[in-house]
This record gives sequence, C-alpha cells and structure tokens, in this order.
Amino acid sequence: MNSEVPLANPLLSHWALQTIGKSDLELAHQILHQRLASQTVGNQITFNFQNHVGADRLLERVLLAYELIAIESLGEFIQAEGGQEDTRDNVLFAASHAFEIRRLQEVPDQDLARILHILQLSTLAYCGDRWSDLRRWYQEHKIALRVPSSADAPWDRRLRYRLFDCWVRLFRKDGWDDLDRIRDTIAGLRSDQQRMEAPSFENGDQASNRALAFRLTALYHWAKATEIVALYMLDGRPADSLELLDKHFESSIQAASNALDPQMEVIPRWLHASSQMMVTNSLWWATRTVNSKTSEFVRELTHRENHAMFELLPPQRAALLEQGLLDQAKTAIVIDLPTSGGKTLLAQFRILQAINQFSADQAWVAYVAPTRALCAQVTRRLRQDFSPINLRVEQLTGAVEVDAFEEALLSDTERSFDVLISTPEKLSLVIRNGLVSRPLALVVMDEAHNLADATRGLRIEFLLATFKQDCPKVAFLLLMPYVDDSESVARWLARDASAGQSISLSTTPWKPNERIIGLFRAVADESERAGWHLAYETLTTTPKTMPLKGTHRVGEVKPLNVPRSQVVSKDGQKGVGLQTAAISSVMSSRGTSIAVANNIGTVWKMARKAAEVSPITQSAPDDVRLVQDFLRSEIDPNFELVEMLEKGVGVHHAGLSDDVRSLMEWLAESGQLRVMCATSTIAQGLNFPVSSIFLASRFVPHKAHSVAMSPREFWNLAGRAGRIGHDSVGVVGLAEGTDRESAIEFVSKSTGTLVSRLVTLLDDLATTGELADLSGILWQDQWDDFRCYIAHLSAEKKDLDTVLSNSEQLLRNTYGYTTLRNDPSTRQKADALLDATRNYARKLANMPPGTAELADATGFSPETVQKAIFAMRNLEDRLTTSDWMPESLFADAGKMAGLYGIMLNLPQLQDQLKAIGGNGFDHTRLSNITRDWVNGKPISDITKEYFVKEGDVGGTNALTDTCKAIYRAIVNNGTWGVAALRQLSGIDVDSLSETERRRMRILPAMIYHGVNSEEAVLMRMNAVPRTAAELLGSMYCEVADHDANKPSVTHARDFLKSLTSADWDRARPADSHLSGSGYQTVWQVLSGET
Amino acid sequence: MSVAEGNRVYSNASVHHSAFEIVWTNKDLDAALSGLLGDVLSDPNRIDDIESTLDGLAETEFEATGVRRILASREELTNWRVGEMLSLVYLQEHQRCLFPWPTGRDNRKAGSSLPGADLAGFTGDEAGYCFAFGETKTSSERRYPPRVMHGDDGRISQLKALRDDQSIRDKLVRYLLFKSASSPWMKQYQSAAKRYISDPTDISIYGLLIRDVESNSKDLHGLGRKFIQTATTRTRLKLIAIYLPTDSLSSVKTRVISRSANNEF
Repeated sequence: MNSEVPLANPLLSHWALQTIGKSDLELAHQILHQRLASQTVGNQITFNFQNHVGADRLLERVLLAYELIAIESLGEFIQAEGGQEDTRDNVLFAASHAFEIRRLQEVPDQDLARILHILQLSTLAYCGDRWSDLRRWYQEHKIALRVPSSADAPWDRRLRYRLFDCWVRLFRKDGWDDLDRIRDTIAGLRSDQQRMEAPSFENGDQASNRALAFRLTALYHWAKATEIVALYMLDGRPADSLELLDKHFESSIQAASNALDPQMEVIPRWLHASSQMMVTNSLWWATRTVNSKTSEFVRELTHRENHAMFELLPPQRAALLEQGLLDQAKTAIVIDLPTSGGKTLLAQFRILQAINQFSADQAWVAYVAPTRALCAQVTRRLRQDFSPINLRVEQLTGAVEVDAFEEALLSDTERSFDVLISTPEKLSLVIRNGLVSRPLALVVMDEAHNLADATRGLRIEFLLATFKQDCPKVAFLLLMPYVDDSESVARWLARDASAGQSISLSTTPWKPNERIIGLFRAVADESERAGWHLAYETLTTTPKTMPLKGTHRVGEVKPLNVPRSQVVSKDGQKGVGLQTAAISSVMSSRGTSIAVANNIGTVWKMARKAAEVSPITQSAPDDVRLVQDFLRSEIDPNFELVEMLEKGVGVHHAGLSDDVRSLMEWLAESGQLRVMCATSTIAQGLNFPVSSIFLASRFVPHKAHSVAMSPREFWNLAGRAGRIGHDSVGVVGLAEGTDRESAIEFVSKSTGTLVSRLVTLLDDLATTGELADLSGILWQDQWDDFRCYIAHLSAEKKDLDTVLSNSEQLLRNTYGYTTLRNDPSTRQKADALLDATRNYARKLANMPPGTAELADATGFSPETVQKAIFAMRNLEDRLTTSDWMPESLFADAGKMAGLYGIMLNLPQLQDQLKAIGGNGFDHTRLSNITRDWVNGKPISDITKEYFVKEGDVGGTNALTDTCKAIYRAIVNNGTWGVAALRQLSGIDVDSLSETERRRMRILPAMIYHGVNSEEAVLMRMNAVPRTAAELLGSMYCEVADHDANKPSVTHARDFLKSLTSADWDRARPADSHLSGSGYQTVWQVLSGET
Repeated sequence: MSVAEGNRVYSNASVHHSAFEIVWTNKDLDAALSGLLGDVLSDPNRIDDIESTLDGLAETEFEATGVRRILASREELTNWRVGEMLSLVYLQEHQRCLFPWPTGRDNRKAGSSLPGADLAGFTGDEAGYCFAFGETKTSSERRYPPRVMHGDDGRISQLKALRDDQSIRDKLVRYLLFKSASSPWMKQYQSAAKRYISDPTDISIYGLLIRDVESNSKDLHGLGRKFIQTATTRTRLKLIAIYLPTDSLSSVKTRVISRSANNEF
C-alpha cells in the first residue's frame, strides 16, 4: 500500500476525506513518513524534519476519517465475501492507511487499553492487507504483547485475556506449535467454564447478571470462531469454515448488542473481517482445488520448524486466486515481482502443478538462472523444500560441456530428477543435443529480464526460441522484476495470444516495505582535525520511494579512519569508495549493508576500511568461524578475508570461487555479516534482501570501458533493500560523486518495457546506416548466439531448402523478430533479419558437412568450429588418442599448452583467457596453472608460483588474480575449450574401450572441478570442498566397488548423506584448518542437504 | 405528541449551555406510559432475541445451561432504565434528537469498558445535524442536589469527561457508525461526522436528571460555574431535570409489567 502520493488515493472523493481537505491530508502523510523514517532509521540518520505544530491532532483527525471510511463499508465487506469491488477497495485502502497511523502510536500501559489497541491495530492490518507489516510490528513490540495474568480475574475477563492470547498467536503465526496451542487454550476454557461460570453470577443483581449472561454468550461464540480460524490455519479444514465463522461472529455481535456492550460488539466485527482475510490468504485456501502433490507441499510448509509459512502475500494471492497462475490453459506466464514479493513460492506451485499434470509421462521441469551462484541458491532452496515431498532436484554444473555423469543423469529413463537447474548456456547444450528423452513440461526462467542484457540477452532469447521450436508442448514461467508491458512477452511465448498471462505487482498496491533513496556525500566537519561527516540527501523524484525532502547527517564525525582530504576537497567529492564503505558501516547497526563498487580493487579497499571501524569485539559466531576455517583450508591461511570476517565484513566478487561466494551469501542471508562489499554482479546472485544498499558509482565495466547501469539493473539492486520480515524501511544510496545532476537523473529513470537484445542490436545498426549490410556484420562477436541458433536449425532440418522456406516461422520463435514484425514502423528491420538469416543458412550449407552439428555439440559458432579444426590440424605437435587421456594431458610433458595456444585465438574464448592479466602471459603458463590446479595444488601455492607481484602487501591482489584466473578463465573457458577441441580433434571415440572413453570424457570436468579422478569429480559435483574431494573420492570408490550400482551423481550424494563426522575426519587433509564436522557442515550448506 | 413537554419551572441559559427544569403531572406521565415510552419499556422484541441467542450457543461446545437459566427469567425493570428511556424519548420529541441506540451502561460491577454516554445519536440544528451524547441519572433521594450529581462517578464528572476527553467521543463516534451504516439515518450520521471531523467540539451534550420528588432549583443551581469552558470549544451543553409526580417511579414499573402481560395475549 503506498502512502506515497495521496493524489493517487482513490478515497479522495469520500466525504470523510473531503472534510479533511487535500492539503491537510498531504501534510498528514508527510508527517507519517517522517515519523516512520525517524523511528526506523533515526539512530543512524539524524533527520532534521521541520516540526509541525498540532501534528498529533491532525493525525488523530485523519485516523478517525480513515477508520470511519473502513467501518462504513465493513458490513458489506464481510457479507458477500467482499461485496463489490468499490466496497472492498474502500476498506482495504482505508484500513491500510489507518494502520500506518496507529502503528506509530504508543501502546497504552493499562492492560485492557493495551489489548484493545493491539487488537485494533492487528485487525486494521489484516483488513488493509498489511499482515507482513504487522508481523514486523509484533517483532519489535514483544513486551507489549504479553498476555495479562488471568489468575484472579472474574470469568468473563479471563475469557477475554485468553482469547487475546489466542489472537496474538493467530496474528503472529510463529510456527506450527504457536498456533496449535490455541486448541489447548480453548479446550481449557471449556473446562474452566464448569467451575468458574456459576460463581460469576452469585453477587449480581438481575440486571447485571443478564448483561453478564449476554456477554458470556458473546465470548463463547467468539471463542468458537477463534478455534475455527486456528484449525483452518493448521489443517485447511473444514471446507466451510467461512460460513461457520459468519455464524459465530454474527451471534457474538448480536449477543454483545443485547448486553449493551459496545466494546464487545466492535472488536468481533473487525475480527470477523480479519478472519475472512486470514482464511482466504492462507495457503490452504489458495490451493484447495489443486492436486495432491501441492497439498502435500502446503502441509510441509505449515509444519516445518524453520520459517513455517501459512499465508500468502497480496501479490501471491492475486497471482494464485485472481490471475490464473495455476490455470492449465495458460501456457506462458510472466511474473513481474521483485525480491521479497515471494516469487519463489509461486514458481514452486507452478512447478508442482506441471509435474502433477504430466506425472504419467515422467515429465521434468527446467529451471534456468543466469549465474552459477543463483543456480546454487535456487538448488539449495528447492532441495530443502521439495525433498520432504519426494521430488528430486538436481543441478547441472556451469561447465559448457556435458560430462559423462551428467549425461547419464539426463538420459536416465527412471525419474532421476524432477527439476533440473541450470545456466542458459548449459541448458542450451542439453536441449540442442536432445540429451533428455523425457518430455519437458515447464521451463522456469529466473531473472528473465536478462533478455535485454548486452552480454547474455541473445543467448537467452535464442534458448527460449529453441524451446519453442524443439519442445512444442512446453509451458513457460518467466520471473522478472520491473518490466512494463510484460504482456507482450507473455503473448510471444504462449501458443496463442489468449494463453499468455502476465502477473504484475502493480495490480496490487502492496509493497514489501517502504524505501528511501538518496545521494550521499562527504561534508567538511570542523569539530575535529581533518574532520568530515556524511550527508544523505533524500530524493523525491523517484517513484516507489518515500517522499521525504531534505539533507540529513549520517553517523558521527569521521566514520572511517581517513582524513578529510581523501573524501572531499575544495574541488569536490572524491574517494567515493571510501564514502560508500563509511555509510555502509554506519547503517549496518540496523542490519546488513551492501557496499557496491565497480571494480574488485575498490571492493577490497572498502572492506579493509569497514573492518577497521567495525564495533565488533567479541569473537565470531560459529557459522562465521566455519567459513574462516574453510577459507584457510581452501584458499590461504593468511587470506585477508579471514580477518575481515572476524569483524563482520564480507566480500563478494568475481575474484572468488563459487563456493566462497555461496558462503558469503549464506552468512549475509542469516544476518551474520554487518557489511558486505561487492561488485555489481551481486545483483544477479542476491536472491534475498538486506537492510541497506549503497553504490559508489552508477557505472559498471563493460568490455574495455564503463557504461551506466541500466535503470532495471539499478532497481533490481535497489529492490533488495529492506527485509520484509525486519525492516519497515529499506535504505538505498548512491554516491553523489562529481556529477550531481546526472546522478539525480539516473535515479529518476523508470525501468520501462523489456527490449529484446536482438532489437537493440538492429536499432543500433539502423542508426549507423549499416542495416542493409547485416549479413556482412554477422561475423562479429555480438552475433555469436544468432549464428549458433541458425546453425542449430540447420543441423535439425538437415536440408537447406527446408530451412529457407521455414526461416520466417523459425525466426518468429524469437521475441525480437516477433516484436519487429508486428510493428509496421520496424518491418524493415525484420526483413533485414530475415534476409540475413537466409544468407547465413546458405553460407552454412557451403561449409564442410557436419559443421552445424559440431556447432551444436560444442556450443561454438560454426566459424569458431572451422577455425578450431584448422588450428588443430596445423598443430606442430598434433595430439593422438593417448595424448587426450588425463594422465597424459595433465602430466608435465602434456600437450595442453598447444590446446591453450589454439584457444587464445578462438573468438569465443580468447577475451576471457587474455583477461587473466600479468606479464608475458601465454599458453604455456595457462597450461601449467591448469595442470597444477587439476593435480590438486593448493591455491596458496599456485598464487606463490604464478601471481605474486612486487609491493603486493598481504598478497590479496595476487590471490584475487589467481582466483580470477582459475574460476573465471580456466574453469569456464579452459573447460569449454578443451571439451570442444576434443570433439573437434577427429578422435574416433567408438574405437576406444569403455574405460578409455570414460576417462577421456571426464577430462574437462577435471579442469572444471580441479581434481584428477572420476570419483573426485563426483564429489565436487555434489558440492564437496576441493581439499576433501580426492580423499572422499577414494572412500567412495571403495564403497562403489562393493555396490552393484554404477557411480553416479545421485549415488554419490546418497553416499555423502550417509557419512558421519568421523568419516569426514578421515577424508580431510591432515593439515587442514577445517575439522571433519566442519567439512560436513560446509558441505550441507553448499548442497542444501540440511 | 406522546411525551409531554411539561412545565418549565427554572431556566438559565448562556452561550454554550443551558439548564432547565421540567415538571410532569400525573396526566403527563399516564399519557407517556400509554404511548411511546410504554412501548419502549415493554419492548417485546427483546424476548425473541433471547431465544435465538440460546439456540446457537450449543454449537460453541460451551455449556449453555447457566446462561439459559439467567436469561429465562423475565427482566426486571429498574429505575435507571426507566429514567434512561424517558430521557431518550423526551429528547427525541423535544430537542430534535435521534438516538439509534441506547448504549453501554455504566455498570461498575461488570467492568464496562466504554465509559461515557448512556445515549449516543444526533441533534438537528440550524447547521444540519451534529452528534448528541446524553447522560442520565435517576434519583428518588430527598436531597437537593442528590448524591448522584457529584463524586467521581457523578453526573458532573461524566459530563465533563464527555466534553473534554476527545478519545471517549471518538470511540462513541466509531461505534455509532457501526449502527448507522446502511441504515435510514446514515444521512444524519454523515452530516454530524463531517462537522465532527472538522471540529471535534462541535457536538451537543445532554445531562438529564430524572426525579420523582418535588422540584427544586438547588438541583441545577450553580452548575454553570462548574462547566465553564474555553472560548474555542463549541460544545453545547444542556442540563435538564425532569420531575415526575412524587414517588411515581415504583408505580411505573408495575404499570409497564402489566402492560407487557396484556400484550402477550
């Protein structure tokens, strides 16, 4: 519910608000915002809001007006389960606004007044769809919720206090037990009645006894209604709960009226309305007509110990009940919700439905996430949620090649997985090569707005096009935030226009919390030598944020140990990285802050400074200690990050391994980091919110230079500020830097519609007049994915004429072409694209036969395939079959250098490989590093040997370089390159024995995982840390030998699950800093097997 | 007119408040009892309410016998209930008031949670309608003024609370809306509410004193001083004392009961 602009308030024409008047209403809203900000952020930011005389009285008047509006329509609201839409909206909006005012009021001390205040606040919250805000309030006001003692109370008061207890539980929903206690309480009251009711009549005269009798009747009905709500929350039964609630609440109200007791009349009316909301919000209600798998899932969610879930957020409810998320006729659904909107749960319901619908066919579901980090997070979450209901969730590695184990997993006709999680590149390989014979029921694509991304947009678009082409029955679910006009995306994906559905947050006025956005800068402060402090200027030009004007001071003088000259001089602002670290530190006292910079060096600088001023003095909690030990073992005992973690500071960037990043995310998500310093890539990997986010710059690196973030990228990042369960206000800041105007303008931009990357590229060409020459431009890097797509089509159709005559149809599978073709003003571009497609198809037909198939198999473009084959043939020292065996390739005299030499000249690989940095970089060095990496050399040793530089204090830069070299360049492109080159080498795989074939095929995976045995690869595929993989692998080998089962990913995981800490102890290296149980815990965290 | 206006025997008026006394003769009282007042006091509908109340109780799975026993016996008519209803009827006839409900009574024993007003409704005036709140005290005591006027629970304190404590009035206003929404008097409510939102002192307060003793100006005398108010408040306060024929209250009860009995046949 936004109280941002009362102008948008649909109640403005209501007589009650008209009486208040627009300007008074705006003033009231402004005061509310200011008070909320002061209350929630006031400890860190010294707001200097103007004091308004008579503010309290104004708020009382406005509160009365809103409550009158709600009361006026409450009867109708209750009646026909909502009545007309106007009525419903009146109550919703008015109650929501009233809630906003009441939640800032002080809670009365006296018991009865306190109870009434809380019940009124809570019922307003539910009637205004603000239950998530209420939960927060409950967290922050635990003392106020204490139930008064009913020890010596008269019978009716006892009933009232106990019922208050029950409703606190219902509103708080702190887990299954919390709610279950309600049943006992009501049962207890029934038994108490037997000895307590009669005495309560003893001393009264007739009139007061009659009143009491009616009052008790009202209370007994209320108690019964309470019981009904509780039972429904727990079990989803009985089905006619709403009707029963109507009956008992109405009886209660009637009896209270007879008792002439207004209080007893008013509260049940509000509770009646709230109960309806609670029931229809509940997971049970939303899924009551759906299949049994979903009911099982709901049962799991309501019963689990941690984070039990009972009810839906408004956008989730809208999606499920009103917008047809589970409507089987909708084959393409686009959900536009930011983090905290609860999109994962919606995806889960859709997944369950798809699996259930096609269970007879053993269908599977693909979940695509853009980065490995996000894939890992999703895997963990889905595994945790789905294994209790026996759904199998597997993840493919990020390697752009399918190793033997993965292939076995995919081709298994038994149900080895129900949901498969993967990056787009990997899934592309899988689909194009038809590696799964089971039918694909549903594709879920997360962060789907990457369709517009400069680097991966085309890849994603063509992946979706490939699905449409190759899997005609598949349904789509796209998750993406902040996209206007997502209907057009839905329409494109659906089989026909009516089968597309877009579900958008904008259809409900709900927000997870309020947000403040502003610019921050350093200001000279004379109170200390070289003193300075931070100033934060709230911006009101952006939508979706609290309209607070003014510049306010943040924190104390010199929040970091740096002199003024480093952050501000007479020439203006400087040291924005330092400023970002400073403000992140100050704000971290209210919850985790993320400090974002656009290069890794600055990230380290920020982290050092933040650690310096951290107030943490006691030793680190267990989880942090675990991660520190992990870092010592896996990276380097003297890794700087270890000390930083001690101070509650974490780091996140591409110069760290996936495992380390996952562990950073794990710590941040559980609130054990005060400050996380990161590059903007964290936006893609952050699937959970934090309290505050600060950016040093709006620029991000793009190839050789910097570009400003797109508005969507910015809002995606900013959208993570504010934890729905903990923060009423999320804070976002951008360093003002040297160009204040541009910064303000940047923040004001809205996100707009989603533009296909294909369209963008063509637009650019049209602008430079090169559109007519598209065919001549296609060889450029940015068109790689396009060429791969056409190659795939050619490989499929096998016949040029078929491709040519179907090319229009095939292009229509893409979003870009469809958009261009549908708009008369862009037909020309569509034509250009069609022409270029046909020309390219012809070109392909003239290439050596099998090129297109090899492109599909390797993921290379046809041009790269050709180049690679040529280079392989012309190697001085050509590779024979035996050269391709791991023992040979990874030996000292191995021929990998030659392969790297080729890779460094291949367009799709060279950029990343060359970016490793360092002097005199060449294929020999790359090859040596790879060899050492595979053969188990510790990272610290690799660093010392290849990356240490002069003047690198602490060796952090060298470590960063090492990690980038290994985890970006080698693990990605080395793996890809070696796998592809092997396929292009002309080696006759069929002539090999099965063992030899397996050994050869596992080679790229060894590079990917940094181990040199098959079993160790299986361990690594199951998230075992590298330092324990070899030893565990040999343990597994022994077990597998005795077992009839062949080694496989799932078998290996079962093995790992069965290990005790003592077993893990045997598997750890003797000098490791991690104990056996430490390894085990890390493994559990990384794999999601808790 | 079913309720006599009676004779004014004392009157004192100023800008915001006025006080006057009215005396009823036996004839006036008779007329009232056979008319509207009698209807209101016998109130046959309440019996039906009780039956339906008891029917539903069993489904709560709480024991219904205790409640049933209490409610089965006929309701006694108390003096203060007579006084309350008389006030209501009188104000509606002669002061342009409209009271949708008699509201919560100030019953210390039951620990009522809404102190404030016995009567809540509307009064018509030249500007439309405003909220009207009334307090009634009934006394046969031969003291002038009777004890019910003073003390913490006395009428004076109650009226002052109504006038000065906005939170009490706010609660009554909200409660009134529950009773007024979708009813024939919603227009009056809206008119009163608009005025109240603009100025929460724009209301009328009535303090009634029902006595079946000889009239005496000492009952209302000097109250003006006790209710001095600031210039910014627009609350209109009316204190009315109604004197029924001496010792007639006890006979009222008997007459109502026999009338109900007649109605039942």
